[in-house]
Amino acid sequence: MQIVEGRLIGGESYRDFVLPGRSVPEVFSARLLNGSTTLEITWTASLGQGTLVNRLALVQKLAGGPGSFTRITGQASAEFRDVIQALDLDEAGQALGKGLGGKWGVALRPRPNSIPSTWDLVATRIGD
Amino acid sequence: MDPHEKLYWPFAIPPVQTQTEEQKSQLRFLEAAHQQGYAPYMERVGHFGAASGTRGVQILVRGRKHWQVLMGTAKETILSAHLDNFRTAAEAVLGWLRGADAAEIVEQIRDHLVVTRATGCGFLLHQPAAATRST
Repeated sequence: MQIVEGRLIGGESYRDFVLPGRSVPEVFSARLLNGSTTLEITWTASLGQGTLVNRLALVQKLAGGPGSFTRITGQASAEFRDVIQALDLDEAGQALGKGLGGKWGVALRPRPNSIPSTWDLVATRIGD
Repeated sequence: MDPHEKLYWPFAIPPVQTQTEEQKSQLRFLEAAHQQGYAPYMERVGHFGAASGTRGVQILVRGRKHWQVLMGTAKETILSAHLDNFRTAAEAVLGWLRGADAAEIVEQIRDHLVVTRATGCGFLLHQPAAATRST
């Protein structure tokens, strides 16, 4: 996994945690703004729970260890909503706890005022 | 800090000599959309959006050289496409906001679609009667 640092035109500096693919540019990328404890998964080619948790655990290690992020978000467009709604969110929270430590709650929420509609999958660290 | 906080254009930007080509492309989008009255914004985390009447668009960062454009209304997504550069994404969404037909936009962006196992053929076009996904 690579760490790519950059700065956005709005002024925010960030680190992207990127896993290159073999035949595709990237199979996973996640962004952590400097000063933020929210990790945004910008892309994942796999929604496999084990794969995703392993990748997040690696991000956590590279980002500075447990506590480097306490919230994980991902914005999904309409065509992926059904796939995500089929996820067992309780199970996902437990898997995150095993992979990252702590207790995690996972929720799927429609993004307010999003045109067109999108959904946020949000995982929040709710305890140790 | 809320990474999804929207910064509406205009806002303070880095000096031109430090701007990357992609950032210049993003600025051109914000300026063009603003001039046309589409209230463009950038989320702190790096996504973009704008709206015109009943039409709305979003440009979501999906990695290096990977942007997802969403075009639609409050009721439905008409076109979702994965593109390999921001300039093409910006041209596509500005076209939609100006009233272009989504099928025509697909033809304009075909050469820049990101086609992978995860993205399928790179786009999903919703037709009024049924969803169409080219294979």
